[in-house]
Amino acid sequence: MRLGYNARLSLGLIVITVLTLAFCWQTSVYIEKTADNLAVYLTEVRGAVQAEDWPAADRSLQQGLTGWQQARPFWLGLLNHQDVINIDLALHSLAAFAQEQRTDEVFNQLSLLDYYLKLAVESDKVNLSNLF
Amino acid sequence: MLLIIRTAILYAVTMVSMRVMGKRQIGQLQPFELVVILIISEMATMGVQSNGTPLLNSLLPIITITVLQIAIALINLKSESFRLLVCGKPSFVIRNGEILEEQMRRLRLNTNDLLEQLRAKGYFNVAEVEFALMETNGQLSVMPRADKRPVQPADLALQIQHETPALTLIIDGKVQEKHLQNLGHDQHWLQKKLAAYSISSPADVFFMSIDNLGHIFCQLKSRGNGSPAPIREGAQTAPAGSGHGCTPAQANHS
Repeated sequence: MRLGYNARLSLGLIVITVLTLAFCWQTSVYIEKTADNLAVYLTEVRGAVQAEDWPAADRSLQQGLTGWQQARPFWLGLLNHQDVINIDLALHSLAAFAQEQRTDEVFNQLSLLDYYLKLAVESDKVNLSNLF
Repeated sequence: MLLIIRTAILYAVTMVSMRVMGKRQIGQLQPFELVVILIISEMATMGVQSNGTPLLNSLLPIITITVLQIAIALINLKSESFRLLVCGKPSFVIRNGEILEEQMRRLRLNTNDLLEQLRAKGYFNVAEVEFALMETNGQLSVMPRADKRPVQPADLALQIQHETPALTLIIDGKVQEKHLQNLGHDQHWLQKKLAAYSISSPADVFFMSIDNLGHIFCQLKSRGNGSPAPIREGAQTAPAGSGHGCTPAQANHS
């Protein structure tokens, strides 16, 4: 059964709409997942620093940085570049302070990173405050 | 470099979007179609101007608007009430030769605007107009009084042959094969015609067309020394005051 032009056009529109919505949903899920992964490593770093186990903190931090470097290109394509730059700056500051074993500054940067990650995820969510 | 690539991508996407939305977008704009054009151009500009925002921030809105626009156009096609809601309906501003002042007030159309639109349609005298309709796209459609409209063949009881548009045979050196087939001719016929004009190859021809009476218009490509005179075969008159145009015999002689 051959569909008319308008029927095919309508079907095409529905397909494009579904694909676009699926793509948007998938990117939201991806952002959330990578943010959660990074947050896990940051929690490990916090725990290690509290226990003054700097080598363990450094290992967790390096794993977090590796994960972030993999996710970064996708984040740049999906979010505002300033958000990504903020996280970059905070991570590099954290790495520097961790190397110098400055506990207070490490905790400050960890809090800042948590905030930036949460902000990046929240700003992408569908809710009333983001809509307006 | 980034700016150039982003601009090129957004330009391509906007062009495709306009093309997909159809010819109406570019021609007579309805209000909702004008909105679409404005929003899409704004989205494209944002993507070009700001390197810090992802390209998706411009591409996704453009795709969304294109889809919405086509969807609204499809619904418009099927539902008259929806069409009325979205486009409105045309309104008479002159009916039976009378200017409808109340209607003009409702449309916020002043007399100067009306006169301007009438002049643009070729009517410098309101007394010549029987009906004027303000369309939903803001254009004025005018029907003149019966005794003021241009004379038509039917008025003079003339028997006129059915006419069809002229078909192009060659555009910029390229033969339009489909049109040639539609006419029931082939390359051999075309070569014979060109040979009669002392033209060796279709590649030398800038433009060639044939009308339903078999009259041919043919113009060679310019070779940097001005456009050559076109060849008109079969037409009884050359355009008035053109100073150009020659018969095949004249073309052969030159």
